[in-house]
Amino acid sequence: MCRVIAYLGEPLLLDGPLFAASNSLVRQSFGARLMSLLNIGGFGMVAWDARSSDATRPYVYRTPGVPVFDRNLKALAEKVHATAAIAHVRGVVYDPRERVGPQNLHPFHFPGARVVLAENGDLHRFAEMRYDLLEHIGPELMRYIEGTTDTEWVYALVLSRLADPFEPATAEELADAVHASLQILRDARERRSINDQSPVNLVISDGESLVATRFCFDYGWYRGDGSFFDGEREFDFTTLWYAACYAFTPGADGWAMRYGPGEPRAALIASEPLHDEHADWLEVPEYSMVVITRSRDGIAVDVRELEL
Amino acid sequence: MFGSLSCERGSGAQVTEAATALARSTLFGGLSQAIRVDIGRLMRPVEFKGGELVFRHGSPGNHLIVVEEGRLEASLPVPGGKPVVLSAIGSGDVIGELSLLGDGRRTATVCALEPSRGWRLDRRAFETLRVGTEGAATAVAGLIGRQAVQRLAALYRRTAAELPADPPPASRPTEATPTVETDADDSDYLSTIRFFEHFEPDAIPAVVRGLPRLAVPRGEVIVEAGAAPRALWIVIRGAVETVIRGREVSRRMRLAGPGRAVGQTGLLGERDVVDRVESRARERAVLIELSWNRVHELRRGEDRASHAFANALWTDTVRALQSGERPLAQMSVARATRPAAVG
Repeated sequence: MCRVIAYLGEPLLLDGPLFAASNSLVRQSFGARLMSLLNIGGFGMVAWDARSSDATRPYVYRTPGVPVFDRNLKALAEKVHATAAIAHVRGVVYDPRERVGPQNLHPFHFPGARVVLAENGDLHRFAEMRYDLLEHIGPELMRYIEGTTDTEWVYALVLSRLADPFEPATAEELADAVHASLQILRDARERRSINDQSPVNLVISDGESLVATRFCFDYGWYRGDGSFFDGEREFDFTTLWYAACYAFTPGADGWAMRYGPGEPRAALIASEPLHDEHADWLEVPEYSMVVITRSRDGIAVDVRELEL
Repeated sequence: MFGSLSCERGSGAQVTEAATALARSTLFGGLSQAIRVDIGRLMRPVEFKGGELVFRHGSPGNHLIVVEEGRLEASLPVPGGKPVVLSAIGSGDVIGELSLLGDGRRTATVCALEPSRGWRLDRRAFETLRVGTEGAATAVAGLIGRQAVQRLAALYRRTAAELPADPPPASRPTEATPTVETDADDSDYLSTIRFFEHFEPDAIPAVVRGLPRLAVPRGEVIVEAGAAPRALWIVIRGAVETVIRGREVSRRMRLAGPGRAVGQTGLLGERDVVDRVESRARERAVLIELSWNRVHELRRGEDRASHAFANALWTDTVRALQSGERPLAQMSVARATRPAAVG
């Protein structure tokens, strides 16, 4: 069912959230605490550094391998700092028919687009509604869809809701695009009488702002078919957490949130808290959207109820 | 089947000591001596040095401690600041009692301020009481559960007081009438959801036979703001949310999915109604409705089905409290994206 993290703020050494924190993303690929499944269908990361040349162009790293064995990724994470990032480990059905490969790795990032998207979710019976979405997706975006995931279509759907999918968008425009896309998905599901539980936790960024949803269609209507994800009832509303602090840095006490005067300067979003100090983290409410923006004063976090 | 437990059970002297500590405790003092001995058999002595961490805020809760001697302190860590002391703990106090029924995380950090000792009861050990001695298990669950209902109502009051007043209009009640079915044959499905997870197969129909199943549309208000719950509902499909709305922000106290109950504060009657607490179907939902008469009848019953119901009710009440106490972000109302109509 995947795990995802995202960051916006002052330069952050990626080793912390990816490897070194006590419940880092890479640890979650084989030992997530808030779900029982492995997330071994690949790793992907898109990261921006506002201080770099061509700062709007993100750094991208994807591998269909298991990241805990990836020395290249570890070496990069110990060196690279980011002012914004989304990283994702993919959970897939343990089945030879599952398509694990580079074309299905999150975060999705079409050539020339400023916005990237990753998902921790699963739209049940997506194959039945996939082509109903065609009318809502710009033809200039359709040609970039390469994989078989529902997420890539959701990404194209969100980009298509922007005035220009290849130009910068404000946080509010991203939030509106996500909301409109979820409404289209709801309508498509209703037309096809698809009414089983389908979580849609989305994380979207262009390096300047961050939007995330904790959302589920038809929560509580279990598939009841003994399917792979039907066994995950213990954590049945897919989790999402956030933390806002001065910095997330290593210290004698391990990787920890540091606090200072004024507005927060860093915000993290994660499927589950990245370290053991739970007081630093707030759970994102079910059916809500988190909008994180950057300003001269720091980082602002707004959590909004999401009704469709 | 109790082979692995025999080594956990204390000696006769230890059992007597543990039962005595229970008798002196604030929470369990009212239990009968026979039940205290039953529980004492499952307890282990624990000791803490001065300054030692007993448990940490946010860690999974899986045992309670009855303090027999010493001095401890509960505190709440504050990001970037000094911990806030919540309470002093001493002889006779019980800490971590919700973990016996619920499965949440510790809501405070507890440290020993001086050498202290007490008796520890693990949830897994307590589960064995449900086998063969349901009466004892139900009595203990009832003590913890009734305390949880009081704490839940207090949490609602406290949260409502913290949110700015003059809330916007609450959710609009839909005009659709719930569909009612009374002869549903859904025991197999019910056995797969949380409320009924510890029921013997024949206990489920004994409890739910003849009770109405309400098919409720999305958006339907189940408990109006300012009203006492007129029944207890068990969600069997879909979800019901309980929310406290303020002028600028709202706080979701619980999202009750399948196998969770709605309306527990109704156990307290009309006297503990909190103005802005509202429960509504967040998804289309199917609910089992139990009148309060039926709830009280099952709570007082001595048969296995009644014990199973009482245990499930108290366990779910603790989970409702833990859900309300979880570190959940508030949601801004002014910028919420809401449709023109719900349902």
